[in-house]
Amino acid sequence: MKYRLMLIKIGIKKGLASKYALIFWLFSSLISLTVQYFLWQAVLTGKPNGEFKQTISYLVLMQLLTVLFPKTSYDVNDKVRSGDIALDLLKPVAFATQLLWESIGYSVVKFAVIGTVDLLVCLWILNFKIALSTILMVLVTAILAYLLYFELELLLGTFSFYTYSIWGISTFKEAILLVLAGNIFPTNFYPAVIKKVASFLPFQYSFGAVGMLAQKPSWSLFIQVVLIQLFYIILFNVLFKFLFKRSVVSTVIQGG
Amino acid sequence: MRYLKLLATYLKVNLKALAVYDLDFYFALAGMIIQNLLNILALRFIFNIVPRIKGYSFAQLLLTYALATLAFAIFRCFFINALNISDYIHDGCLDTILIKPVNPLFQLVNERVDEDAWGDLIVALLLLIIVDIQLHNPWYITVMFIFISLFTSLIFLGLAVLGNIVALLSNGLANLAETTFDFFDMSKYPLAIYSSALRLIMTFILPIGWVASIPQEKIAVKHEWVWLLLIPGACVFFFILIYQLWRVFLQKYQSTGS
Amino acid sequence: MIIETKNLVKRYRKVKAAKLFHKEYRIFDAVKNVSLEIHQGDHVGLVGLNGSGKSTLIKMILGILQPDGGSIKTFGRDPLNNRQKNAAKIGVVFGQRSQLRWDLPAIDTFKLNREIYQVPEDIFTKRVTKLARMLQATEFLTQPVRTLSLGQRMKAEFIAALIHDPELLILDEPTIGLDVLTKNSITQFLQQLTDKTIIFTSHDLDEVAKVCLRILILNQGQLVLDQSSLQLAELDVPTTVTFTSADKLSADLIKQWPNMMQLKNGSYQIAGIKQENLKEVLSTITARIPVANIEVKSNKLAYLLAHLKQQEVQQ
Repeated sequence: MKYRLMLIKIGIKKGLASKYALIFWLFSSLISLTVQYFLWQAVLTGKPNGEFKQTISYLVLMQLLTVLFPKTSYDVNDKVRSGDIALDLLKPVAFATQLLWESIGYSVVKFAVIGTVDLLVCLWILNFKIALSTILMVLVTAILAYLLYFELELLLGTFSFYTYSIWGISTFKEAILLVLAGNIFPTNFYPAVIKKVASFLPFQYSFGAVGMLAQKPSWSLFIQVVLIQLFYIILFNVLFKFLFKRSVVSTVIQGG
Repeated sequence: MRYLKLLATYLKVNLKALAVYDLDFYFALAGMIIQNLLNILALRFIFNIVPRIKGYSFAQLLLTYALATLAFAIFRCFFINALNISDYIHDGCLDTILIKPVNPLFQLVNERVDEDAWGDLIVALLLLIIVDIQLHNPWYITVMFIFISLFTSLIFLGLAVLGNIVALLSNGLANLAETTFDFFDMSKYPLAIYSSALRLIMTFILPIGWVASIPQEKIAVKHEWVWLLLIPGACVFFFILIYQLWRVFLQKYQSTGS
Repeated sequence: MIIETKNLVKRYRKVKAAKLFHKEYRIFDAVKNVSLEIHQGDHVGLVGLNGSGKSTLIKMILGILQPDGGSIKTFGRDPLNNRQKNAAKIGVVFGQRSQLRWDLPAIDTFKLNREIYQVPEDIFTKRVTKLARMLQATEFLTQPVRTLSLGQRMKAEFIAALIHDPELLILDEPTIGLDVLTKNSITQFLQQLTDKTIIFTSHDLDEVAKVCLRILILNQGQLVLDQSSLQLAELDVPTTVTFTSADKLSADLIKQWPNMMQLKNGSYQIAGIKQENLKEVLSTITARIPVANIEVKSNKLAYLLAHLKQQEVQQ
């Protein structure tokens, strides 16, 4: 247990060391929220004000998740390219575990700087009216969403064993997230077909599903979301372990 | 003339460097094309909710999107390294540039091209042509837009340089230049959707409105040809302003060495 | 005259303590009243410890740093305002920074430099061929730089810096981290460049002395020595001999060298041997002791720095 705390601490220190980067991120996310605010205001003129408020608070929440979630694929890529991965593989703690706890530490700092502002904006839009059960549901699904996204990034990262850099694959991922995860565009407004498709695929369960619970909390939806999240987390974990083993064995680690 | 030749050489070298990324390069290309298509799809979804946004139809909004993307793609394809100025200074690499008999900003900007903006460039050009046909804009308007984009991309270059200078003077905010990406997001929509205060800022302070919204309104809608000169003029003016700032900054760098 | 400085001064502001809203600074002089002249064809070694002001001086010569006092002229003009004009006549190799494109073969960077310095195509080809032959670099110039060893990369850096046949070649710690073989081949290469003015900075006096006829030593920003390397070679710097032996030393030998010490790892060390006695000491050791390992060292730079400091104090 102790090494986990240590890894979290390392992550926190990393975050604090890049405090300027965090302030920039805050700034950046505020600009992007401004754009979305005015866009949806223009779109939803004539509709009841409640809908606009709900949409914006949903988008703020999505933005928060996007910022908090780790960019593990880049970490893996860096380590493979520099050859440092050899050092990590020698440690008695599993490679993925090291990455997970370190990124949690980093996310804690991100939450402290950006999360508080985003949450305040969110609550302010909702006039600070939110049920305790909703908070609980959002919290639980958000944590699972974090794990799910982490596994997704890990899988993506293993590609670095095969390509020179994963920049391209990463762009690909963002493109898919854009339409299937609901982190930029509210899932509510998806056409019926896409809504259906997205509900089966894993991507929505690291973003949109959390937002849907925040908008319309219900225990049945909550249980459904949690079960699907758990299913994908386990599936991805098994897949990652399989792929990672093969990659490490079959690929000569690039030396410096 | 000399700089044109140099530009060609840089381009040759940079394209050769791109080839190193082979598989990844094609992934990125495909990724960017898909991302754009999905962006457009998302825009389409919005028009499932309402028929018009502030009087703009789907096709008109697509035109704004295409113009902004084209200008930004040109920026990314050719000027992207301007985002890395502060890195050059932090690791001392600016010195290797200053010892060469060529304008330092020119060298900096040309040292690298983006791996994955080429997909953007292709999509933006195609989209511009398709949308212009849909809107029944005559062919010369498309040509004018391409011409104007060469200049509006300078706005992004200016913003990137500005971001770096502010970052360096503020001793830290190293990623500030990345806000250029956020400004691009702002430029994708007509000025009409923003509040009047923001509209003023985007016209007269950070000239984001000049990237797509103003050219679209003045040329595609109102056919006021004088803007064919005014818009490039405004872009060049903004860039010269930033360039002067860059020179002041360079002087400071030379006097303090940091 | 290639370079002329008079009472050149450069001050830096260093953060002493960073508080929440303001920082306290400490001013220190990186270069203090340096006056020197470097003539056409001089091979000058600029030697000093880390932080002695070598790089600062170089930067002022290149015109990328503004002096705070005194004057400096490179090629007879103010380097700051004529930076780009002067740059066409200067080639620079930074040991710790690369001008080569990481993901491409070195030859592509050369081609880029050909355009930057406007070298005609035929001259360029001849020059690259010649330089590559001199440095034995021909076969790896077409490999991507990231696949090269450090030694190969440095050789490529030298060629890149010489593409435009500069009058002045500035080498800022170019041999850092290189193996002996590469160092030797670079030294030989530099010895052949007799028509160029060279400024070679390093913290290794002996290495610089192989290439340069004139040695400048900087210490804490001050020019403390300006002498020919021949004179320096004759300078009597005490030598330290360290050796190991499986056998015990005989008593009379121990008596003969009263200042001999046995180190913690069991080896013996005789310090402060004068040059005239060195030969005798060495022959005695090799004749009378079955030596397993022997090392002869004279740290001239450290000795000089200590020595010169004392002189200053006396003045």
